[in-house]
Amino acid sequence: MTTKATTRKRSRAEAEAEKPVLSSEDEFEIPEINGDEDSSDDSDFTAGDEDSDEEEEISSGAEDEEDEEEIDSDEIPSEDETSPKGNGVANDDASDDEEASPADNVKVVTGADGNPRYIYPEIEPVYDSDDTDAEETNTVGNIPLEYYENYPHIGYDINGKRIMRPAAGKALDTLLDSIELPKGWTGLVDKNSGAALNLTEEELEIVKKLQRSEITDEGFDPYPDMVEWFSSKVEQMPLSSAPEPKRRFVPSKHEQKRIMKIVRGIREGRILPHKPQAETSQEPEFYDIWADDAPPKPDHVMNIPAPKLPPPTHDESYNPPPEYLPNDKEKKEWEEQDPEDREKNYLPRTHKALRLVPGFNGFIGERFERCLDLYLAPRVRRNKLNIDPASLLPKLPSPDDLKPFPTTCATVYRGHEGRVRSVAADPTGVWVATGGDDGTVRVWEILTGRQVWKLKVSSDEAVDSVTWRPTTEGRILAAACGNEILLVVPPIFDFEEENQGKEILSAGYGYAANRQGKKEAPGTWSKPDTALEEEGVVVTITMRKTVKYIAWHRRGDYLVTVSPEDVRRAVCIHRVSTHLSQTPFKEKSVTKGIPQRVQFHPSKPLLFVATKRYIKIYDLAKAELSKTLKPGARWISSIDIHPQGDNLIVGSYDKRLLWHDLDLSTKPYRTLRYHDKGIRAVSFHRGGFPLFCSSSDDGTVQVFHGRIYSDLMENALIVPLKVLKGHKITAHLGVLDVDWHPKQPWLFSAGADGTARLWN
Amino acid sequence: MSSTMDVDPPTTQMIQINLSTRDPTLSIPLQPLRIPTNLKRYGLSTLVNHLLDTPKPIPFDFLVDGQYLRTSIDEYLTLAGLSSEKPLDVEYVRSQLPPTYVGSFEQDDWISSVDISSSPSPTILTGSFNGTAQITSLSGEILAKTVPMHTQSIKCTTWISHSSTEASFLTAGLDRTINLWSYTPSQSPDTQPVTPSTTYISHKSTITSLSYSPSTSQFLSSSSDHTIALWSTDSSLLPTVSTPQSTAFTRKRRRTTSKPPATIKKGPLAVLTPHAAPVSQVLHSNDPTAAYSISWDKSIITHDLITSQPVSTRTTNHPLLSVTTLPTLSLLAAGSSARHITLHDPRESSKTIYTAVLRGHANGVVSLVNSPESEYVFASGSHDGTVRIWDVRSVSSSDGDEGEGKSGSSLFVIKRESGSGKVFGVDWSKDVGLVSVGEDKKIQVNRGEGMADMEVMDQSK
Repeated sequence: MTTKATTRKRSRAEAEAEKPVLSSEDEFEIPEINGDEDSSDDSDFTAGDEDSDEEEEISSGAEDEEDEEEIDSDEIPSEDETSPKGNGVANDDASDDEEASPADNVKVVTGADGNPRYIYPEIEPVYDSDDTDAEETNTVGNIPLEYYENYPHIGYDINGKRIMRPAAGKALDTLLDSIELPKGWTGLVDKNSGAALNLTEEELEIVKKLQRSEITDEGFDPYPDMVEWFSSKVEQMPLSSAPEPKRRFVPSKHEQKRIMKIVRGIREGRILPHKPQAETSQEPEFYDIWADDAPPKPDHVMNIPAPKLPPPTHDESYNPPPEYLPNDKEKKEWEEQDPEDREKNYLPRTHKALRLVPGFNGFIGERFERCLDLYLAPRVRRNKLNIDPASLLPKLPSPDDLKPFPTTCATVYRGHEGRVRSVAADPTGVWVATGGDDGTVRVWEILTGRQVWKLKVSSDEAVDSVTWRPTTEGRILAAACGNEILLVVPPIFDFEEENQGKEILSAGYGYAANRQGKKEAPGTWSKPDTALEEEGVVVTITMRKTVKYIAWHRRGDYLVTVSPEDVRRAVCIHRVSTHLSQTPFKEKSVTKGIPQRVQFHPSKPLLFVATKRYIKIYDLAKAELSKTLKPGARWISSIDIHPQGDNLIVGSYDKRLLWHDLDLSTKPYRTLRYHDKGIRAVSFHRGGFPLFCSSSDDGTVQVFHGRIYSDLMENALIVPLKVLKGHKITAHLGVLDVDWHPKQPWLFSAGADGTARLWN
Repeated sequence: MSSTMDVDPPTTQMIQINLSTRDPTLSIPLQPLRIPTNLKRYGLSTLVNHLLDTPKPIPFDFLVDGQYLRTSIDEYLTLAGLSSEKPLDVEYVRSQLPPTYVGSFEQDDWISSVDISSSPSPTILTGSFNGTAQITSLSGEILAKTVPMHTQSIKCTTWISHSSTEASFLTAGLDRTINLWSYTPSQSPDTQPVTPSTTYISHKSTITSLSYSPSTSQFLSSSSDHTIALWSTDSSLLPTVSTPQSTAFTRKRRRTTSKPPATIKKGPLAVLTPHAAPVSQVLHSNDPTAAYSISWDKSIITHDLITSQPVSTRTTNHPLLSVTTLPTLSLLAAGSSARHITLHDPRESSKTIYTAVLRGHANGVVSLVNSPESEYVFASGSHDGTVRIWDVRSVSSSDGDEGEGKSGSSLFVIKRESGSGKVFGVDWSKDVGLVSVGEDKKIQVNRGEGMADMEVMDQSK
């Protein structure tokens, strides 16, 4: 009811403010309107929200001005009430108190028509003082208005109050309206509000444009300026009349090239035109970075796995043993250190429980450092073989297991003046013979070192070689002194043996007599002079040049000598039983080089001739060269043949000791370089011990274990055993000759210092 | 016990010892004794003398675990890492005093062998490398010298009999003959005291040793020709042989053979050839019908002289050069070219090759001789120029390179007074002392000073 009154009052006030004339007219016309209202309900379109009560009041107001005044006075407080209501606060008592005061503010002035005219005070323009802009919205929804035909209201506002039907004009009003039509009048009633629905200025303008068949779009210019393309002044033609270029018709070379490339690829099989779609990989679409172990990467040189971090240690425990906890000093030291210098980037700390361990604030930094390490530190896969060098060495038995072998000097044979050139042990193993630069041959008792026999052969020439006849019967010693070879039976043996030896040597004198007049032999066999004969010399063989080396055949009938200075007859074979000397090689070209040493094979009819660089093996039965060994030495000094005959050792002046296996190749099987100076002599033990030795100008004798296996597939085992030191180096010469005891593992050596030695 | 423990431990720590001896004449009842550990040999010796209640103190030596006690017990315990809580087994022996140098007699060539005859007067028979033998009195007087019967060195000599009026001895050497000489001591210097009586011819190489057994009047000779010959001093038992002659007479031989008087030439009773290498020494055992021979072929062979057959062969690891028997201990001591002496049990029942290995020599051991006083002691002469005295009790278990047995070291070392030179022979008698000969051409006599005391001791008993 209050809202109803206010709206009406407001519209009235507006009318008074804007059109005072009209307001008077309204007031004047009110009763009439009310009268019309009753008659025609349908024409209440323009009226606002009205209640039936308001209608009654209006009608009552229209009936009586005083009532109206009273009502108005009554209603003024209600009008005031609206403002608190707008504020959402309703208080009846307060409104009752305020009723009188606004009523007092109303001035009643007599208008020009004589009717009282209420002049209301100025409305204070404060917030919420006016709600005229608040739109009243019908909330009935989308239902036809006809449903409310029989009601004074046409719906409800948001507050549930009725919205009254606007007062319908009277017929006169309608007429007047039809005479003086407002602008945009359509004669239609707004469905929601019930008021006349008028067109706006813009809509009217559009209607006007449509009537003129114009485009209603605003800003459309139906008459734009002409663009001059082709006029009297401008001659521009947007279209060309040029003939189409040829390339539009000719197939593209470039495309053809590309196609042909593909065609070629297809023909050659590089491109499969209908290749079946590759099976979609079974791998998950997303990489599981949290997987425990990454799949092993294919082995590739560039794929170097990151080095593993060391496993955590005690001090990384949340509760390490107390010895791992740093004391105050260490803590301080750690803190004072530069973070880069710290050995560890944490300090061991103890916590009572694992849940009390705080987060590691350096985690990100540590991961970052680790990543940097992995990225920036060069990782190279080295092709270094992780092999212990010791394991590559052949497994040699310990020398202790290879006993016995000579280790110490047992006896020194003193007596020679000047170098001892040659040493030879008696086949019985009781005596040892030496020959020296003083031109003497001496025989010694082995253990005591007592000289038992001495033969002065020459006063100016050295005895270069002494050697015993390698047989058990007839003790014969061959000695080479200058160009003479002496065959001696030393008078130290049993008379039977002595006589036997002399008989063997003298037996050939008859043959020599028969051979008179034959062609010149390389050696002359003759009886020695009486002085020598009394000493035991039986035969002397005189050669043309100095004899450097003598070797016996195993049966003791032949001996072979070398005189390197005699170019044509360097090698000479002598037969004891017939007193015959002959040269197996007539020409120098046969041996090609100066022979150094010669040896008979221990069992076969073979002769080994060592020249400076090669060792030639001659088959004496077939009289031909059977093999040439190439030790690779510059200058061979000595050779010796293993008693079994399949192996050979070679000593050379270029410090090398070479082991040849005659079954293998012409190259050495093993090269031993242990001497500091040239090797003078080499020797195999012939009494059953797998020993051999080499003597050198460095004053040492080196003893080796050289075992040969009967299994042909197994190579010889060579173990260095002992370096025997004792001989003094005199004038750059050391140990000139070595020989083994025939039965015991004892070694004799002849030194340039004038002594011979026994090693056991 | 506890009360003794409380007595000031740092100064006088006590240890319980069990004294024992192998000498029955010196035995004391077995009783544990508690003695302070700071005692040395002298203190212990006094203690034992007190226990024995000897009229005159005997010097004693003490063996603990095969080692002579040379320090105080305390130091020994510390060195051996033993506790003083445990009782210590101590063996006491008559003290072997270090033989001191008495004197030496020079000859004109290397001396190869020596033999001492004690009765009737101590005389020394030596064989020389120049082929003569010489009899020297203890004062150094040359009593007799043989004629150069031997054309070459004498390697071995041995007395056969020695009395005040008549004596005989054997010499042999490089010239493969053995000569029996008769010697009449009490003659005027003008006459020839020594005359050769018999020459024994069999060997074809150097004779290395002679061994005479008085009970059977037989002697054995060993030679480098691998043989052992059995001979008898009774010439009637031996076959007569002729002297082999060289076809070509050398000047030297003509000279030597002209001089010596003619002797009877005799052959051997038997020739034993069990060895495959030069026989270094042959030695009669206690039983005169058995003999031991050693050789470069590393074997020790026991021979039955009645059947001339080898009884048992014992092969060692090294060429052997000398041998002696320790009869009461059933032991053989053999000196080898490998610079050590090995102790063997020659009995058949013995399984082990070695009982002990005694090391110390630096060269081959060529001569061994028993001590005249103690059955446990012997002396060795070596090419290294020393004579060493050994006690077989003084051996301790150790891992020697022989792999088994025990090893020991020498009691005393006697060096050549002349400096150096090989020792070729040693002999030891009570009267003369330890006599050694060698390359320095000297007969060197050494004596232990304790010997006189022991004589007194023996006489008092």
